[in-house]
Amino acid sequence: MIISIARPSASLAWLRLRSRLDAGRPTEVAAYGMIWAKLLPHLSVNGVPLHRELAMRGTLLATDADGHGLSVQLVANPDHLAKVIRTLRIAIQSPASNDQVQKAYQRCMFSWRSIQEDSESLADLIADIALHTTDLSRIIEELDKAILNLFSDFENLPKLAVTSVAHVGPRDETEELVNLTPQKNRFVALVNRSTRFCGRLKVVSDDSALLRLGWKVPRRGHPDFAALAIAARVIGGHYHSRLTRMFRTERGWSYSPWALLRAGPHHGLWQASIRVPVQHLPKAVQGVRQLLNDYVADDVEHATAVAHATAETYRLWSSGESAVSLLGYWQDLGIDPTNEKDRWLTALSAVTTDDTVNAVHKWLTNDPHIELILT
Amino acid sequence: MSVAERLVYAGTVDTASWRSTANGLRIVAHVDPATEVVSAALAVGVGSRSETSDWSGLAHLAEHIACGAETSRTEALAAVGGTCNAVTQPDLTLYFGSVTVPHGRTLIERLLEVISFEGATAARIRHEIGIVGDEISAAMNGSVMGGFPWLWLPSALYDEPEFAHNGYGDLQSLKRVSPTILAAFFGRYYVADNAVLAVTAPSLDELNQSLHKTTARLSRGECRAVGSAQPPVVESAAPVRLYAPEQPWQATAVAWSLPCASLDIEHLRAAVLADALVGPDDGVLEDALPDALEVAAYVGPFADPWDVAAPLPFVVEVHHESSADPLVVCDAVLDVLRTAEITDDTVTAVAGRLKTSLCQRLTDPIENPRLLASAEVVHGRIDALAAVPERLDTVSVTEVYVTACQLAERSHRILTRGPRL
Repeated sequence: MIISIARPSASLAWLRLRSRLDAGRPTEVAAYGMIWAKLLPHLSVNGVPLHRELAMRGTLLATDADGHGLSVQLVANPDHLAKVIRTLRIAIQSPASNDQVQKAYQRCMFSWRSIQEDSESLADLIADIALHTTDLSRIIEELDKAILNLFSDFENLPKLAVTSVAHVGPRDETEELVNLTPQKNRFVALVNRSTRFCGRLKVVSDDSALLRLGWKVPRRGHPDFAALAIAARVIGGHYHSRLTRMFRTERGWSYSPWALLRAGPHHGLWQASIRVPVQHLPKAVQGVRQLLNDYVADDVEHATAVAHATAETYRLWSSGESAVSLLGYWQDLGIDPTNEKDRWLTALSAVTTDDTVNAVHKWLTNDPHIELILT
Repeated sequence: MSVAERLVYAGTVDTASWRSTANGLRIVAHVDPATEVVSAALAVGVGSRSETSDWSGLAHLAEHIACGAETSRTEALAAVGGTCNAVTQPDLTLYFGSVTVPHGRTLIERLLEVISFEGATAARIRHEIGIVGDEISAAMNGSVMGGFPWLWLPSALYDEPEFAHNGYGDLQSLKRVSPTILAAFFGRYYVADNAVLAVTAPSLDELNQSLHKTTARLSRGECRAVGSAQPPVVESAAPVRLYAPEQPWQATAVAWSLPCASLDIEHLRAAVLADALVGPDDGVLEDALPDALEVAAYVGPFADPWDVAAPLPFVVEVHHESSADPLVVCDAVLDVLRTAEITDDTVTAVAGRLKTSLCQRLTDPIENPRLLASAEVVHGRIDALAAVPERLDTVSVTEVYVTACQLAERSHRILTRGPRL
């Protein structure tokens, strides 16, 4: 899938590639993605590491991995874009040496250890993988095992194959982008077992605890999805949201509580997150649950939430960097990005207060699928 | 070349213009046809380095109170989906936000409300101190603000309280802050002629509508000079150690104090050196420390600092197994600085990356006002920021070598964290 957006006033070009990795469970996909993220910048292009070759043209390269595969994002001088694309294609097709693989594995291990030490990053990774699987029971153990097994199993590392390309720049570069030869989606179906993940992990910390609750909700495109997005705004989407009022404004317990809806290929994940002093943890859990169970409509809050969701869409679209990420996100979900911004704005404006109340009580008042406490 | 021409050269905007209002507020306004929002930033020339040791953390507390104030304008901005947030830096406090185009004036009015803010009740101050405490907890556990060694670096590198400040200050000290102390702080620093407003909008019409009559009521107040601090002398190379037994590896940072402000040519040379040490060619540091888990090198309390007055820290950060001695790691870093082979190609590549990185921020309609307002309030010369791309081109490999050798011979401090004491 290729999308190229021309912005004549842009002085830079942003490019985002996605390579889905055919590696089995999302934990394995994430593990393989992590090592590819560390390896790709060091692959050789005519004897020169890719990131050096790109840097010689002032091009910035960033790689990241999740339960969906590997993403590669570049910022380049538009006049050099064709050369950048050719360089990237050569790198993707070039073999890795043992030394490169060993170094990538070392960097990958360090990243994984760092994530385990950082409660926010760990919670984000768990939630991210949860978007791609219905089995949430053993994410940490599986990820640990997958990463530890990487080195011995490296010969079976899935090959990189660009599956989607998004571009924002001064010109429509679709013809050049075709040279990256996107391939058909090779993402594999996942085991479908519904279990809850209840984790209590010890990380380096002081006396605060991070609480993360997550509910599996329908995928983007479902009639309730926009209503759930508005509910996330009402409950924890801005400084005047209910979570912020309850835990920051009224009680002074928490710096930045939030609620967020994200979409995955199979389902969405509606999350609420709050860091509080440990002694207030039980009341925080109770407070979040109560906010959802007692959810009622409020016209002013609803209008504010729609305005925030709308403004955020415009804000993301205004920046080349976030616009290309947004395009990539829609591609990941299998959505045609061409008119998705307008479709989403229309969907947001059509949500009524009753839609939001019904969606909350339908999807968010049962036990959460993720209940993560990091102390 | 005019400021506007330089900004266009940097790929920033179609139009850049200056206004200076009667009360001394400086305004820089930009047109960016690609944006679908109005975004703005108000930089106030007071930061954590402005504090005395008696009131450590007051600048950050003031930021919380001014940003979180419940006013009719705050509610009006929220009601139309506008955002407003703030951050306290060493030499400035930055308030910023964005909103859909028809509501640009609401955003500007909300930001300008900050510099006519007078204070808060004792109950509000106590309440906000609790939230600051949670922010510190979050930072200590997060890898960005709290990641080694940023929170601990200032106190390890500097003896003087204003430079040793980690940005958050001392919660115990904050608990003694009274409404009178806070009001005096706002009265001294939160005044029009100690602030810069930067605004980006899709067209000149929308800019003028957003800015129309918004500054008339501002009062003139006393202005404190920023950016004039003298760099302290670092005399000791004694390691400063932090014990973190649950962390499975050791992190060691070697830090220097550079006697320059960001945007000075010395800063740009050091920035090129830092990037050359760790990338883009796998980095000479990685070759010299093959067992290191990760290496990083950067200038400033944060990577990519364009808004810090002198002095600037230069940091080499090495994450390694706890079996390695931090002092041996430090020696290896110093050896690299003395003997590293950095080529012309590497300097060209590094400078190119830095230019693109800055250009990306300058072209981002959300980032642009923050960057320009911050640079102007600290340095007083927005053109110095616009000139960075050209000046990076002038950095030679010889200058980078000289910078490296000078660092190797200058006093430094070592900060180490992990199971090995």
